[in-house]
Formats: sequence, structure tokens, C-alpha cells
Amino acid sequence: MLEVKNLSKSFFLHLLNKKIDVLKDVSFEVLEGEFLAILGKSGSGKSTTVKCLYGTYKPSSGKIIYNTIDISNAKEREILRLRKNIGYVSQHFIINPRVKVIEAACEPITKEKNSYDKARKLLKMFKLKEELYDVYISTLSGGERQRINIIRAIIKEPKLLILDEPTTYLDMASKDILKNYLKKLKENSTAIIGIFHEFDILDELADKMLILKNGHVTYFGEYDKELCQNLL
Amino acid sequence: MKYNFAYLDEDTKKEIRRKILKAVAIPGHQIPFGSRVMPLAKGFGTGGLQITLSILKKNDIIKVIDQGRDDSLNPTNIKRLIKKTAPSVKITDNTTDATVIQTRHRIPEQRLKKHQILVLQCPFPEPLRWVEKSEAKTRKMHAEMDYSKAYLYLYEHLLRYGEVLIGTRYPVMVNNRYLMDPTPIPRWDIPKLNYAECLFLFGAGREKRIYAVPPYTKVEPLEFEDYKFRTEDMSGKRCELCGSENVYLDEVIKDGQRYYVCSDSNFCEKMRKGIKVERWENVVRS
Amino acid sequence: MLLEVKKISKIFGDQNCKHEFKDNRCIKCGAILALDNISFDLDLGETLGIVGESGSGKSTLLRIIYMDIEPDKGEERLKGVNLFSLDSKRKRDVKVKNMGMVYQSPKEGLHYNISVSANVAEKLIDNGWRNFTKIKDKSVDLLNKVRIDDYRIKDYPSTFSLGMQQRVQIAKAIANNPDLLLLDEPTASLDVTVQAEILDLIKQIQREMNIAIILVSHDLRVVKLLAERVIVLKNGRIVEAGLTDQILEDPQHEYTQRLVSSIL
Repeated sequence: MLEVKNLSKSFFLHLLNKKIDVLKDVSFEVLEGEFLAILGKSGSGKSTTVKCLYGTYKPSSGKIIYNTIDISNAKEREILRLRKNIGYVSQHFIINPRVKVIEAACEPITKEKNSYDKARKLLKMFKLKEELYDVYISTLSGGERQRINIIRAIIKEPKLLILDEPTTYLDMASKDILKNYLKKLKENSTAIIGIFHEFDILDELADKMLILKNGHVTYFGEYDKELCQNLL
Repeated sequence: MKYNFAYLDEDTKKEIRRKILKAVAIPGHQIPFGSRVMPLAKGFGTGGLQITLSILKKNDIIKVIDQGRDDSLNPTNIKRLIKKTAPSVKITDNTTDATVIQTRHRIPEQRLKKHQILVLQCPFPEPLRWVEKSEAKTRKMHAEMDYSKAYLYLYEHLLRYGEVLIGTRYPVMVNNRYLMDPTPIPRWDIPKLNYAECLFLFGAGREKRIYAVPPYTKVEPLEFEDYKFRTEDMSGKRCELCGSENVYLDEVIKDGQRYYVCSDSNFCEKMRKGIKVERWENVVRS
Repeated sequence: MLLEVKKISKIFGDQNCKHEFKDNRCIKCGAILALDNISFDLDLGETLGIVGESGSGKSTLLRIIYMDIEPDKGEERLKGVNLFSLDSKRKRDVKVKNMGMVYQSPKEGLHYNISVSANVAEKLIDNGWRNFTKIKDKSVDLLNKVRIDDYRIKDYPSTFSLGMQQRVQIAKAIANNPDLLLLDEPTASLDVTVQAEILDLIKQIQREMNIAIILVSHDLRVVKLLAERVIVLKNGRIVEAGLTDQILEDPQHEYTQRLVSSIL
């Protein structure tokens, strides 16, 4: 359902008059129900790749095709429409801290009728206490905020879920909950692209892996833990 | 000193008559005119006077009233001017006989007929001035029928006092098109404007505007669906001199006692003499 | 498409001069090029942010969209109708029925000699409401929605704080359920806590009404919070346009990069 062909991304910083090449000629694909792990050292271009997939970054060249729609040069509205089916969990907490927990959780589907119910269900699943629902995000811990980040992505019931290091602040229990949820998503034909450091999650869920080094693809194929450790 | 008939020179009369025609052609719309220097201070009826003097014919019969009375200072002076400069014009107190009536702040209780013209003295022709100080903007508002602010005037009253306490200059809608200030006549007189037989002319000398309500023109006071226009409540009161009820009364305090007297002096006189007076048809709501 | 703005240009100055502009100023007659060839579109349910520094032309653009002033060139189509071709009265009708405007300064949007309830009522009366009780109830409703209490509806705007006056403006702007809501720097000159309340209010409007919003701000954080798409204006020209996250995380144009890097 997602095909990436020769994706390259460079940034030109006018203020420093400098060009930075981050991604060079990256190609891979993801099928429905497949879990693709993106691996690589820090700075190898993992987050950049994923942001190009979500449309935040505009590719310098190459194609990103979702079931026939190429988003590399799509109009803004097209990208917004596609995003309704893509869940993106960013590394950073991008929510306005002045929002209540329950509002933040259901914001992506705010115009749907039972958005609050869906939000409550997920909050409960991730073991967030009910007394927190009306509290501002700014008072939550890192782990709690990260859980909300995840909820915001999955509440959309997307066809593609992209996770960029979603477990940094999570405790073991929450990681397990996430792992089980991702398993269920796979069974429901949701495609998943994940940047994780924890091999235990990848071992259980990953089907394919994409290894990046300095913006190049050094490996794209079946997930193989040993091979991965050798190449990194 | 020899004056032209009715004081004004013919060119002035020509201009004012043209403006009157235009005003009659566009009911309720204010027509600017070059207000002349009159032997009367501004604010004392120069506008009304210029209209009266422009339309007087040699055989007209003129009546001049102020707050309903013929014998006040102002009408007396105006009548003196007319007598001097237009000697052929007859002067009367009798509303029935008059062909032209100049009035300040009242419409006579007696119904005016087809051949009669009522000239009203107007201090402030612009009904929207209270909400918009700029003339350019109010003209635009009239052009675009942007009249919601006039409703706001009523709204504020209802919000604060539960009823509309506007005493005079109650805003009216003329011919479904123009918002008009009827001059400081009491609410009591407002229904008389609607579908009347006579011609109403309004003159503002200081503000330099003329406007008109031709015969059989629709004139509706502004109102809300659930708070309709009401005139003053004269029920239970009667004139001390002639005994009339259902007429606009002035309040008089004499020797510590409160009395009511007819505002319209000619009407009162007729009532006292037992002369029958034809009243305005329109139902007087109170 | 609800709103289509095409090639809007505005020059302040001598209309008869054949202008030659250098740095947006005509070297022959001193006229100022305020806006040059602005185009964009907007649909119901969308929020567009217009970002730029002082003098970029963003307020002028908003006033042209709201038909307070006329452009020299360009079209504005609302539901397919070219607004600039309409006569004055019809323009006013469209404005009153379909648009709501919140000015940067409440003094421009409110009448200070009537109560706040009357200020809101004006919009309703403009739209043909003629029943006092219904108008009053609706105005109370709207004021409550922007969190102004019942016991204050008779008060004059000057007795309220600036933030509350802005809220009254918002209540008035949405009174007639317009299709298009325009906000000109709604939080500039307000205290931080008050800013947050206004932003919350706008968010609530986004949630509850299927309305198109154009939000002008020099503050990228406000735009980040409320808008999905952004247009960056500099010296009257669109320098860059894109999704909010695109503009904030991957700005292409030099000016945009400078703007983004200046956010504290």
C-alpha cells in the first residue's frame, strides 16, 4: 500500500548558506498488515524518512506512493485527506499543553459523534487514571504524555501507523500494552512503520526492516535480528 | 423696504420648490438644499419657514402653531413677517380654513384634507445621528437600508427599562424604504402620518435638509414583533377647559394642583363652542 | 469551494500614475504597494493562518476579504459569486449573512455607546430578527458561550477588560452562524492568560461549527495551534504557503526560515 521510490531529501539553510543532504535515494515498500522496522544510528535519517512519509517534509526528489497517490508533490488538501488514514506518533510532544487530557485524546476525530467514548476507551486501555481526564496535559509526566501521543494516532483507526520512538518514556507495562495493541492492528491489516530501540518489540512484531546509514539504505528485507546487529 | 412676495426672492423659491418636488418623489429621503439667511435665528424654524414662504400663493390661508398653540411668540412673529411680505395671504387660527399650516412639534387633532399642506419645523433630520456621527456614513446607511441600528435604539430601551421610552422623534419607516425622523412630535401624532390625505413637508434650516411624506404613503413606526408601538397613555385624563378625552394633553401645575389642558388650542376652542371636529381615522393605540 | 481569492492587489496612492515600484514604493508618486497578486482558497471546516510581520499587508488583505476596502485588482468568490462585482447594498447583505469579523482592536468592532447585548443583537437584527425576546435570549446565549455572565449583558463595553471585549466581538461575529470567520490578530495586546482563553474559544468554535476561519497573526504559535494551512506574507507577497507543520518544520524560503527560527 505504500511504495517509496528513490526518495532524497536535502535541506537548504539560507541563514547559513548551507545545504545538508539527509536522505539519498531511499527505496522500500510496505504492505497491508506488515510491520516495517526502520533502524539506524542516530542521525542516519530515520525520523526524516518518516516525516517525508507523513508529508511534513517535502521530498527533494523521488516518489512516495500511497495506493496510487504520489504525495511527493501533492496539494495540501490531498495530504490532509490522506492523513485522515495515517496515524503518526512523533518523537516530540506536539500537543498544546493547555488542553485537557480527554480533549487532546479525541482531537484528531473531534468532529465524530462518539469521539469522547473512543478516547475514554483508549485512555482506559493505556491505564490512564480517570481523574486525569480533565487535567491539563502540562501537568502530566513524560510517560503519560507519550501515551496520549500514541492514543491520538491510533484513535483515527488509520490504515498506516507510523511510530517514531514511541516508547522512550514508557514503563514495561505500557510497552506491553502497546505491543499487544500493535499485534491486533497487524491482524486487522493495518500497516505499521516503527522506529524502535527495543528489540523485544521488534522481535515479536517486525516483518521487514530498513537499515539506514548516513541517509543511504544499507538493507531492506526480511527482519533478521542478527543481521541487523551486524550491520549497525 | 420693499420685499418680494413672501420675503424670498424668486430664485430661492425656485430652488426650494424643486427640492420639494424631489422630496415628494422620494418619500422620506432627505434632500439637501441651500438654506438661506432668514430674519429668524437658526433653530427657530428657518427650514419650515423657507418651505412655507416658497409655496405660498397669493390666495392661500396660513396657520402657524407652536406645540399646538397659535398665540405663542414664534408663530406670532412668523405671522407678522408673512403679513408684511405677503399681504394678500389670509391668516387664521382655524384649522378647517387653513390651506398651509406651519407647525412646530405637533400635528393638529383635526384631520387634514387633500388640499392642505402641513409644514413641520425640523431640528434634526437624521434619525441615525445618535449612533453614527459621520454624515458620509449615514448617507451610505440610508442608501444600503442599513437600519438595524435604529432597532438597536429601541432594543436598548427594552433591555434597560422594559418598554420603549422614546418621547418624541420616534423613528418611522416611510414607504418601506427610508428611515425618517418625524421631528419632535409626540408618539401620539405618529399614526397620523400613515396614509394621510394631506401632504407633509419637513424643513431643517440649520441642517439644510428637506424631506416629505406625500399623501397616501405608508408610514410605520419601528417596532418589534413582540413589543409593538404604543402612543402615550391619555386614558383617564381629560381637558380641564373643554372636557375632551382621547386627545393629546399638556400638563399644567397651578396652585399645587395638576391639570390637563388640550395641547391643540384651536381644537379646544371648537370643543368648547360645540363645533364638531373630524378626527384622524387611524386608530389611536395606547 | 466556499471562498476563492484570486490575484488580489492593492495600491495605496495615486491611481493615475503608471507606477514603478522599488521596495514596494513607487519612485514616481510615492504610492505604496500593499498587496501583490494574492491568491488562495478555503473551504468550510478549514482554518487558514496568514502570517507576516507588521507591514506585510495581512490586515489589509483581511479587510479586503471582509469588503471594508476595495482591491485594485483581483476577485473574491464566495460560493461562486464574485463579490467585488456586487453593488454596495448586496455586498453588505453578503457580509452580514455570511461573514463575521473580529478586529484586532475591539474599538473597531464594537459600539461603545450601547450595551454588549445590543452589540451582539445588531448582527441578529441585520439578519432580519424582529422579535425582541428571541433576540435578547440569543444574545445572552452567545455571550454565555464566550463566558460572559448574564448579569453583565446590560453593561457597556468600556466596563469590560480588553480580553472580554474581544470575546464580545467573537460572540457578535458568530451570532448569525456565518460560513466565514475572520480574525485579525485576536490575541495581540492581550495578557498571556487571556490569550489562552481566546484561543480556547476559537478552538471550541472549530469543534462545534462547520465554519471556515482565516486567522491573521504575527505569532506563529497561535497559528500552530489553530490552523492547518498557512500563508506567509512579506511585503504584500505570498512568500511561502503550505501545511502548518510543513512551514514550521521544513520552511523553504529564506524569510520563512528566519521567521520560524525566531520563535522563542
